[in-house]
Amino acid sequence: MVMVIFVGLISFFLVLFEGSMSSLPVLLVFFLCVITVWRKMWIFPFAVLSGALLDVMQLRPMGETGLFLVIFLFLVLLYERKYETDSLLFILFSSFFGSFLYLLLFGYRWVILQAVLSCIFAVLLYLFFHIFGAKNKSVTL
Amino acid sequence: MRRRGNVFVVFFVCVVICVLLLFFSQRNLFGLNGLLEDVLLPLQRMTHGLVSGTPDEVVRLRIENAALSAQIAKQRDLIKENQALHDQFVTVEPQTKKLLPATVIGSPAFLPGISKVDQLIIDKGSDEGVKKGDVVVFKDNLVGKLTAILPHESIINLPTQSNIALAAVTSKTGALGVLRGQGADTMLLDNVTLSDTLQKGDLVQTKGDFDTHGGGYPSGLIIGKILAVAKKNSALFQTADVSSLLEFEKLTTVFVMQ
Repeated sequence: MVMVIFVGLISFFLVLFEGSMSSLPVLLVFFLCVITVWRKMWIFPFAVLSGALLDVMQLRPMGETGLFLVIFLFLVLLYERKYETDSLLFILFSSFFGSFLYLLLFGYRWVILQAVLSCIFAVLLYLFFHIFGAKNKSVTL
Repeated sequence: MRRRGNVFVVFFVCVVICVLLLFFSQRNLFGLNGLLEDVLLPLQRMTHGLVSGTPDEVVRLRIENAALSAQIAKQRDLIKENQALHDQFVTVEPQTKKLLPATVIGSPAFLPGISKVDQLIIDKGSDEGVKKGDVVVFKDNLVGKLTAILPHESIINLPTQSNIALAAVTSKTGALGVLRGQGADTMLLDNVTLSDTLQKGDLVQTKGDFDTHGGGYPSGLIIGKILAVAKKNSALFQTADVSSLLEFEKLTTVFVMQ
């Protein structure tokens, strides 16, 4: 329950941040880290809701971001069977390609630069989650 | 296996919800967008306010400088107008019926320190009488034009955007040209004939290009200041780099011309 409240609060603050301050896809990166570390399915409804709120703030048709997030997170979960998704390398690549695609689809500028920045943010967030949230797990490349 | 099946079910349900949201929001059913905007608008305004912050001394002086430049341009216009009256010509300027103040609540595709602002989101929309194509100003400076309207929010496209082109005239020398946005906070005054004079530091104003629907830019709005002139005798036209007097990312209040 604490986890649900934590994800809800953080995603809401990230929606505000992404909606009014920056074009970095921080919400996408956050959900990516959460799903790779904890692998919970209740993250999907949060992605839909946060995406809808972000769409309202960014003046996009409501549901677009949610749809992208849900498909992206679903693909991440599908990879879980083939590869070890809970690793730094996976976070690095998936956050880069996910952000790149997101920025490209929604017509942002400086796509590569922003994708690289998102990538760095994802790595930091992933390490943070491992240090403070999932102590029993070790970080692997 | 069971968990995998659950993932598919959750995924499918979420996709259906997203598609339904897309369907409802595009047809504006149940007023869902307007309702959420009402809730999020104050929060968005507050968050954006945290970034733009309180204007410091430099910002204050820049605003004052922009206002004084606007005054100079206005005086020049008055002198020109007097001369025109002397010559029994009538200067017709587009009359502004109303200026609607709006608060800047967002700047999409803006990365502080890396990318420049080329769009702004304001807290006024169709419910406040704002419509697509309305011109937005700050003092006598052109801020941009509204391109997307929602019930309580709108998007302004700034003149620095690369797909923007409008007729412009220089304040001091009266040189006519087409102002094109170049992206990254720069503009180019293009298509100026070689016989016209372009001067560094001269102000560039809108020429005025109202269309049949009442849209377009009114005349006399300051677009920016000439930074550098590029003139080659072999070329057909001369060009000038133009920079706005406004710092778009610092704007907190703008005015919609209705």
